[in-house]
Formats: sequence, C-alpha cells, structure tokens
Amino acid sequence: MNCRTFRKHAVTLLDADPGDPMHVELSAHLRSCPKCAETHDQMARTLSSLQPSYGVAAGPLFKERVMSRIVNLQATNRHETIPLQPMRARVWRPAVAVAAAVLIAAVISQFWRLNVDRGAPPTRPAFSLLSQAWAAEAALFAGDEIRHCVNEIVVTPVDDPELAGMRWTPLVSLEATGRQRIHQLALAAKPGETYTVHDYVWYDPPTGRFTRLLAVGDKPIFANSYDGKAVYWLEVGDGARRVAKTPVAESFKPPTSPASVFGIGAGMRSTLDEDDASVVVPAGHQTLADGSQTRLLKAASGSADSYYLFKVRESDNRIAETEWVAKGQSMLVTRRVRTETVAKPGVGWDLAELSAMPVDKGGPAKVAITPDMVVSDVSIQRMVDKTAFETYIFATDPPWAGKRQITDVLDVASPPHRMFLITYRADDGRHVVLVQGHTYNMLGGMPNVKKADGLYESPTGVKVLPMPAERSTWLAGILLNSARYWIKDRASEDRTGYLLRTPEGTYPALAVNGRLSDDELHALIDSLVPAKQFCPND
Amino acid sequence: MDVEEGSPPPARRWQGGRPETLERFEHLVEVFQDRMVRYAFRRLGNLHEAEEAAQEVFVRAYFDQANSRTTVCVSAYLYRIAANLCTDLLRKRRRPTVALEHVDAGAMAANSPTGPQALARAEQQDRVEQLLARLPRRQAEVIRLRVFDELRMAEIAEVLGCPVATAKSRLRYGLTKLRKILPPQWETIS
Repeated sequence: MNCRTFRKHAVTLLDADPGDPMHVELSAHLRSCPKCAETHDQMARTLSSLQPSYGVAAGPLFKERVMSRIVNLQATNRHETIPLQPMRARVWRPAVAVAAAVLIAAVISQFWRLNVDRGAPPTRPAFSLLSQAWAAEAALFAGDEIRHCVNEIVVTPVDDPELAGMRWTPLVSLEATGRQRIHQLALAAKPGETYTVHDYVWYDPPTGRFTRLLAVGDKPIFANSYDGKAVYWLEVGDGARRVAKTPVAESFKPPTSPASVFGIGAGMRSTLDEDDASVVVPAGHQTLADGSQTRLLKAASGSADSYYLFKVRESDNRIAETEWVAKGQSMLVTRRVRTETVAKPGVGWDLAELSAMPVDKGGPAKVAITPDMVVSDVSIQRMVDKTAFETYIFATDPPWAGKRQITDVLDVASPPHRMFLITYRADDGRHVVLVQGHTYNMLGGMPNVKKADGLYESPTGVKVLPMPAERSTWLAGILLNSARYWIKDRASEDRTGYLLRTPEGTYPALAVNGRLSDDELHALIDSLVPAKQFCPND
Repeated sequence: MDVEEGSPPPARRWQGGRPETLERFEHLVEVFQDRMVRYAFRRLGNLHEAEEAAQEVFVRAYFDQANSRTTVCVSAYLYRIAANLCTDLLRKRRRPTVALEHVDAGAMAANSPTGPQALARAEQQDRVEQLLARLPRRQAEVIRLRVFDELRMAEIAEVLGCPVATAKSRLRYGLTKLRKILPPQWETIS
C-alpha cells in the first residue's frame, strides 16, 4: 500500500475492525510510514477534540414511556383479530327492521336532548341513581391532569342471524367548527361470533385537548382528536390510512360536556327529567366478572324485551357497564376497563402515531362506520336528493300545527339508506310525524299490506291503509318517540298511527299525537304531494 | 431529560438484527435511547421536543414492521426514521432546520445540574459547532454522526443514503478542512 492509498482509506481504521483486510493493510502501512502515522494521529486527535464534553441523554423513565405507549397501542393484540370480509347482504325481516328503527329512534331522540338542562330534581330511586351515575361519569373528565379511559365494546354471541348482523352503537365526533356529529358504528357478526372493540380516550381538562381511538385487534377503525389548534380525523380506506387535519374555526370551543362525546354511553345518554323517570326501573343486582357488585337499571326503549341495562357499581356509583338487549338477547356490552390519570396521551393529540401503524391489506371489515346518523333541519331538496324513491311532503301545513321540520336520519335497518322525518309541533299537543324510508317501504313486501285496500284515497292517489287499533297505537308510539326531540312531548295515550301507500308503491308512516276528525285526516292526506314539486332544480 | 456531565460513555452496540419480541425491542430502546434523544436534540434544538421525537422514533420503528423486516442495520434504520421525523417536525414549525450551531448554549446549560461548569462545557460545544458550520454541510453531518452519534462508517452511509466510500471521503475531506481552520492550541485546550 502506498501513502496515497493509505490517505484515501485511513478513516477505515476508525472503525477498529481488525478482521477487515483493508484494516490489516492500513495498519501495516501505518507501522512502516512515520509520515502517514503522524497524519493519522492528527486526524484522530482532531476527532477526539471534537468529542462533546457533556452528553444529552434520555430521561430516567424514557424506556418505560416508550414501552408503555407501544403496549398501549398493541394492547388489543390480546384479543381476537377479526378477519376482514365484506358486509353480508341483509335479509330483511319486518319485525327486526322496525325494531331496529325503534331503537335508533329512541337513541336519537335522547341524544339530541343531551344539552337540555331541565334542572328537574329526581323523583324516583332508580332515576336518581342513574342521574348520579351520569354525574359521576362527567366528573371523570374533570381535573387538572390528563384523564385516560378505556372501554371494551363486546359484541356478544347471538344465535339469531338477523340479530347478530344488526348490532351497532352510536359514535360521537367533534368537527373543527365545534359541531358534534353522531355516527353509526355497525358491529356485525356471524351467529355465535364474538369480538371486542377497544375504545381509548385521553382528555386534558385544562386545555380541552383529546384523543379518541377505536381499534379492533391492532387495527385502528376510528380516531378523532383535538390538539388545541386543529381537529384530526383518521381516514380509513381500502388498504390506506391517513390522518386529516383541519384547523379549528374561530368559533370553535372544546366540548363543554366531554362525557357526552367520549364517555361511556356517549350518544345515547339522556339528560333525564321527570318524564324519563318512568322509563328507568330497577332490575336487580349483578356481580361482574371483576367481582364488582352492581345495581341494574333498565331503561326501556319502547318494547318489553328491548332495553338498555345500566350496571352501576355499588362502591362508587359509577357506570361499570351498559348492555343493549334486543328481543331478550344480549347484543352489546360496553365495559369500562380502565380509568386513570396519565402524564401524556398514549396516542398524540395529532394522531401522528396512527399514520405509522401497519396498514390493513384486507378487504373491508365487518366493523363499519356510517357517518351522520342524524342531520337536523334539512331542506326539501336534500330529502329528494338523498332518496332513491319518491318522497312526499305536505303542500299545506296542518292548520293546528306549527313550523315544519325535516330531519335526515340514517336508516339503521338498511344502511346507508337515509330516512326522513317530517315533524310538526302543535300547540294543542296533536303533533304530526311523517316518516319515509327504505325500511318502511319494505313493508310493501308483506302480502297483507300490499293487497290491502285503502280506507281513503287522496286526489294524488295516496291511500290510508286499514290497521287494527292496537297496531295503530304501536306504530304511532314508534314514530312519536323517534321524533321526541322535535315535538318535545311524550306520546299520548290517544295517539294514532297510519300506514300510507303512494302511487309509486312507497309506504310513508304517519303519526298524530292525538285524535283527528275524518275531515282533518282527509285534508292532511290530500295535501301530500311529491316533494320534488318544491325543488326548483328538478 | 438529563444533561450529563463529562463525556458520554461509549455507545453500546446493538447485536443482531430486528428484534423479534417485545422484550428484545425493549433492549433495543435501552441501547439506542440516548443516541436518539441526542440526535433529535441536535436537529430540533429543544430538549423536551427531542425526547418526544425520540419516543416517536421507537414507536414508529416498532409498528413499521413491514420495513423493519428488511432492515439489515438497525441503528441506521432508527436514524433514518429520526431524520425524517425531525424534518417533518421542523417543517411543521415552518422554520428552517435548526442544527446545534443555532442552539443557545446557555439554554442547554440551564438544564444541567451544575450551572457554571455546565455553561463552560456548553460554550465549548458551541465552539465546536461554530467550526463545523464552516464546513460543507454534508461533510459536517458525517463528522457529527461519527463524533456525536458514534456511528460506524457503514451506518453513516446508510443513514445518509450514500455509498460507504462517499461517506469516508466526506469524513476525510471534512477533517482535513477542519484541521486547517482549527485555532492554535485547539486540541490542547479541548
């Protein structure tokens, strides 16, 4: 080796790898050439002189914090990973479909009353206990330090294929405008199948920052966060995942009631008033798997065998679990498994970690999120645009009622179809509700409905179908309870329901919270016209 | 976050490739945590952000299994993640890259348990950075990775995405230029 070659490769000696042939040659030259030895020595001294005289080092708990974050994110690996598969086609069955509509309707009406503070004192023990439990839940998200909660949403094994496929729960998110949106988290399963969705929440009370992450196994399915400047949203598509960021609007305010956004039962809890007291009844006691003693509070949702159970821990009056029961079978259990104060969120306020997580390569999961279960006060144009069937509207408002409101609701029995509620609140209590949706149109598939002769037919061909009094009351109860947020009152004892048939073969459902004379009913039906007549763009 | 006195101990070497278990990954964190924090600190100029970024590096490395499976050199892989992450963070700040030469030595010393001594050391570090700032950027970066991060030439090449020979020549030329601009008695003072 000559001096030129040595100088070219001299830095190889810095790696101190005696086994390297180049290292051997360089060392040999170094020993035989004083000039190169001096040059090399100068280089080594220069490097040595640059060594930092102190070092920045990781903090004492650095490793623990890293591992905690990883374990936290990976925690769901303990649980079954759901194979990705497309949603199966739904086989419609009227009873189930309507039952589902009832349930969503009840939930929706409760949700929209979330921020209505009536200030009414509780009057019954069960009602009082549930109110206290809600207050305890709200208190979980107060304080000066970051609060962390983990819920497990357990899709319980159900043998009935229809029931197994129709599970869902509401999911609330926050927009950059500050508006809360409620979505449907559909949790389908095969008969007998069970799996768990983990719901992680971090909330910083002083700043309002929050991160919410839902994951199935190690797959994030939903995430929404606020870092003080922007709102972040996890977008999950076919084999792709990205975090969308939207700077908050000037009018933005963090949620004033965080429990209503990401607490247990968010999206279905109600600000209970005295009227609600009658629907909350004690249902005994239960010992949970972790040994907790709980009191069971049953909130009926319009049907004797469909209800929500709130399991309130006796030791601290907090909601330990909620359970949705339909047709007597347990459908979903939402369980609080962790509540703690942490130094920092496990997933950053900007969801940065999620973009680094593995991307699903499979098809769509059976877990699906359909946005916006309820959009209030929409236009006629929207109703026309969002439906694939002819929708009707009252050309003349009922003379005894007030202003018309149209609400766009997810048709939970036939997602992603939309259902439209036209409501009128009346000063005399005879509120009017007209519901049009894919699920109700499917009633035409029942032979006795399809072949029924109309009791009355309007000039535009809309028929009022005959219905037993008991069925009429039942249907009216469903519709009126669905629209309770807008009509404000509970369904009256003398409510009346009507099933209509249009010339296009659709089946709007009509409810009046009271009795109408024949003339009033006929005038009401006569005023029904295709909604597109009111849309200048069509 | 700690600011230690005296020279940092020689960097521990990672034996083996990608950790296959959580326990092995924990060991990897232990081996690389100081270097990752140090590197992020050099890039970001803020101790708190540096530790946050270093944590993020490990989290990403753990979950980025698809890429890490094909990784031969774990240290270079971590540094690449750190480099990209710091670049992203700096971009978010909408301000130019902050190398250590722009970091306030006094602010660093303030984090040290022994004020005056630490300040003196910080000032020495500042002088080093002022020298490195006079070198071509790429040559200075190779020297930093070699001196401050104690990376081997092959690792430096992988971090920078260049051939080993290129990394070596950058180091050689950088050191040659550095010797020419060193003040008299520099090595003795150091």
